[in-house]
Amino acid sequence: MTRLITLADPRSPVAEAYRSLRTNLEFASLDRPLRSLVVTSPGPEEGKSTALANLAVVTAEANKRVILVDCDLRRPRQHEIFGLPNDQGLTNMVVDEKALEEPPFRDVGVAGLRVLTSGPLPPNPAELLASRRMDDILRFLTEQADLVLFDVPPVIAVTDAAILASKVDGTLLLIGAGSTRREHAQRAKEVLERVNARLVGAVLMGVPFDESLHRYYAR
Amino acid sequence: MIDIHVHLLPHYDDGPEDLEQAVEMVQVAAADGVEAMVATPHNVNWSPAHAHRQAEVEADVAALQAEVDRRGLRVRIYPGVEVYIAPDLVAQLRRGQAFPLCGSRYLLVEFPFGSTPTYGEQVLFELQVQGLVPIVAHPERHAGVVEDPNLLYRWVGRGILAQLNAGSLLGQFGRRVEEVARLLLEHGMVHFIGSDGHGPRHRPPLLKEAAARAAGLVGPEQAACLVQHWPAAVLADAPLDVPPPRPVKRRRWFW
Repeated sequence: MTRLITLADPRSPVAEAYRSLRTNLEFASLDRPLRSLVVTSPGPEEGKSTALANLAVVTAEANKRVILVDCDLRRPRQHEIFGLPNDQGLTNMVVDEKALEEPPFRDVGVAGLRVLTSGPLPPNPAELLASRRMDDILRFLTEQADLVLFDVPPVIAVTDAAILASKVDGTLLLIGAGSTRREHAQRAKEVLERVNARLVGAVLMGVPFDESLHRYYAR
Repeated sequence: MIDIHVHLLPHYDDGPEDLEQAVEMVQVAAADGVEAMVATPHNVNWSPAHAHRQAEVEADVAALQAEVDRRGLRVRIYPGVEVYIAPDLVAQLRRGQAFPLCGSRYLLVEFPFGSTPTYGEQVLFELQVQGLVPIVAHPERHAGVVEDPNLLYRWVGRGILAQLNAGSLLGQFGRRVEEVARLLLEHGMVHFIGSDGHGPRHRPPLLKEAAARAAGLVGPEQAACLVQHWPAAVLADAPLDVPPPRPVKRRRWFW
């Protein structure tokens, strides 16, 4: 299991940054509630899934019911991050009619947070995500939580992110400072706009940290 | 060593002709260092009328075991089946026309040699959703994998396992199959070596020489996983956490 910084060191500046991201998301959705959010990146950036897991933790800590869904049906990571088995998950719900009655959610020791891992990986992820059955599952999940967070593959490489982004309330784009190329970020934005995704914002990750600004709060 | 793929039961397929030949096969295997075998008859010609085949296989395994015990051979035999890929495979499992290896989660699945059916990947996925772990039998003998070994890489990356034929590694199916077998082994795409034995003399159920060949290619520890530790996990229905496969980087031309 990866050590999530929001759990391992909740008072760290990085954990604080996740909490301000949470607050910003709430603020961004004041007039249009954000109940389902796709989080993705232009390319295969390092840390997309970990950032999403941290966001899920801090949102649950704000007394929200959160479901984190691993929709990266190509390289799922959430089960590794939380140290969970992945024999049952989202794809079981898509294939098995009865799975809606007993969804294979996992508790991860954070009150309010439930994780739905990817489940067995299908040969045709895009088709599966675009299916009508998937729409039913999205509706079901949104009814079960205050916020449903979706981990999806990078926007540019495959169509999965765009498919899902068009079905949810908002999309958050994670950009790597100094690693994501400018034109890739622009291209990702174009792809998402083309499917009428509501881009609620972008997060710049891996920004060099200026200690001097945080001394005041030091322990 | 443990052999998870051997046609050991008479009267099911092109395996041994009678109980005597079956016992001879066990003798050959025992002398080779095999201590457990999963009898895996083909189910390719089983119809819905064969829904009770699992009970029959179990009974025939028990009868063979009794004879093996009587002759003082120290080999355990388990029931299984080599399942032929089919669009309705999940329904076949429900009807009893197919069943996993010795009541475990592991299902030995055979593809046609000449082509990879379009429904193949979808069926493997459906099996996984049912909680089963497909083991693809002798991928190195399939035209699709011979042409593009990374076909198997994609499957194994999704949690599907694969079983290499001992004979493939020893060149018994030709140089090209031998080369592909070696590639798959070296890239972590195969998890078991099975004999796919069919008789005491023609295609005998041997593992030792192939295991030695594998040890030379990937080291003795990995070879022990292929013929001992991972097959033991199948018999115990234990989860298998295998290392991720590596893609074959460049196309190799054989001649």
